Amino acid sequence: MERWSTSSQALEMVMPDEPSRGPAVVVIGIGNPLRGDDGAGIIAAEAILARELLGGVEVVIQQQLTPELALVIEPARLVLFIDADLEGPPGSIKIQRVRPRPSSDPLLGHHQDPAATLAWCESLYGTAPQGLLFTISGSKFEMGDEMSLPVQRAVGRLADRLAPRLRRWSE
Amino acid sequence: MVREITIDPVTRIEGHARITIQLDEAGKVADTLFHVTQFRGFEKLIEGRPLSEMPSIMARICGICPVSHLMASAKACDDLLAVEIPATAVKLRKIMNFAQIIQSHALNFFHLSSPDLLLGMDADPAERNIFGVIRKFPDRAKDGVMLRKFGQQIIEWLGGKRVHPAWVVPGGVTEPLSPERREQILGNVTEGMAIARRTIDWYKGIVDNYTEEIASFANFPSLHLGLTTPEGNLEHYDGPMTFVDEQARNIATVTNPRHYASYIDEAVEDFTYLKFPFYKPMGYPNGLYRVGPLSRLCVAERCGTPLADMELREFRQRLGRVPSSSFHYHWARLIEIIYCIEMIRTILDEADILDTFVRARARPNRFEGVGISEAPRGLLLHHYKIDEHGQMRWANMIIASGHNNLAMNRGIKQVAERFVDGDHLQEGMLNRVEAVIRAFDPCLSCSTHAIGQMAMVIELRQSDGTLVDKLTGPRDGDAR
Repeated sequence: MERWSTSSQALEMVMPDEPSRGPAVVVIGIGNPLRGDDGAGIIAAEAILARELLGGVEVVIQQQLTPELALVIEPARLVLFIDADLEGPPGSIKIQRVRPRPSSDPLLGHHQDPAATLAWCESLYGTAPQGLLFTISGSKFEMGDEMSLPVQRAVGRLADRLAPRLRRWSE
Repeated sequence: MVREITIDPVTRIEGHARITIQLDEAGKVADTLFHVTQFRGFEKLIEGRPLSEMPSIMARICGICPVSHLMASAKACDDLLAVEIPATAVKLRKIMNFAQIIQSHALNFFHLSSPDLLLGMDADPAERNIFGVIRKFPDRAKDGVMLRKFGQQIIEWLGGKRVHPAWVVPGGVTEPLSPERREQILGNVTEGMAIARRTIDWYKGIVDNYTEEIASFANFPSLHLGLTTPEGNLEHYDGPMTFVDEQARNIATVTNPRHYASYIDEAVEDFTYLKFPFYKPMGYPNGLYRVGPLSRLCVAERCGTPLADMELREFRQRLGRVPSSSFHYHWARLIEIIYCIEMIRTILDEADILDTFVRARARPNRFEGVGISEAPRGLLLHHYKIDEHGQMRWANMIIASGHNNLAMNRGIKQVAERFVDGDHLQEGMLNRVEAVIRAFDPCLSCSTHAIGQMAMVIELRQSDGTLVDKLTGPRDGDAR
């Protein structure tokens, strides 16, 4: 697994140069905002959206990943998945490259992960964008729409770091 | 010596369940049980919440069919407010419900069931999954993705997001339909219909390859329950709850949903969290009935749209007025997709669809309310009681998968008796036991996050727990 110390370093490493037919980047925030820190991916995606990106970036909010996302990501060069993590120090952000891998959760027909989402795209359309998964470690997953303080800070930090880069690509 | 086979979890369904098959001394099936192993507790956790929050909270019951709970919950709240919601709001809610049914039926047919239909019940389980379908039948897989997107996109355009839209509220909907959105939806209808028609044409050509499965997949006469229009046609949003028997004779018509408890009761068994609703006048378990797409077509006199009615005529010519096999849920699902697309187009062409009066406002005017609608899997009922401050005191929900619980349990026994040989365990036998459950498309709740992976293991044990046989390794959806 490739890891990077900063989000901008990761973006530079994986963002291909060729032009895109649709949005250059698709940002997918995943989670359930009624389960505390589980909503970190969605809140982060919304925070990125609020930073006034232009047309080259599409932001998608999802409680869970679904097969038809293959159609959304297919024209893009890069897809950023943002999700909460059960493990790690609360508020820490991890970045990893995602490669297409069919159905890593094989048993539940309604559930898929980022690697399977890329695999859907690659299998159906012969190509898949580069993928990066950003995870924010949480500690509070009980019922409620309030995230813990470390996760709130991490969400802001991640949005601040990603937005300038995304804004440049979206021009 | 009694032996037992466990299928845990049941794959390619929505939610978590297991099946046990008990064998007698001769290795023949003695009994089967369908265990729903997850517990949610929504009926308890909403106590004390204001009724205005109910649609949003109840939609969280499910990540696949939140719109269904949104509808039933909002209608229960309409009943508590004692308001007649604006006609345009009813039409907009119907469009969203049809879109929900399209995407959910597409999910079941293409993603969960098509591996069995396209690759074969006995195919290598490492291949018998959606990625196997993509490899061998990419055009069918693309159709499945497109049809799901068609439904999901309408939900997003109407509700602001694909999953858990907060647009349906007590009293109507929050925003009217804009002319631009109307045109966008209409612009996708032609392609959606083309996919639906070529899929049903293909299915009608292969269904006769499954005569053995048709004969044993929950194939028995039973009552059927579904909503109808006042004229007796197919209906998914409102109207009388109609029970018919195996010859389509009307057994009961419940015109006021608040009277449901006179007709439906719920039994509890200690091996599952899923309750067993039954037709009360016939008692438990004799009051077994089915719901869902097959039942809706059995209950309705006709669909009421041209293409769906044409398909329904062929369906009845080939299978009879009330098909007894639950295998035919698949075919019924495809007819309903056509019907839903036709209805979306029809409603969008109505003169008042862009009307801006889409919400009635009121304070609670009753202490008790009931809301019903047809979810993709069958009739959904929400029953609420509130206090004088409009806060929830009590709730009961009867979901489609619950209505079908008796039929699913009887169905797995029937298919196990036909296919399972306790002395020679083969994966294909057990896949058929799971496939009968898939035909019903139960939604055992999708909104919980699954943490970690469950291994698929099928074990055959003696009554003392001694392992006799074991199947492990890749199961459906598993890719190497």
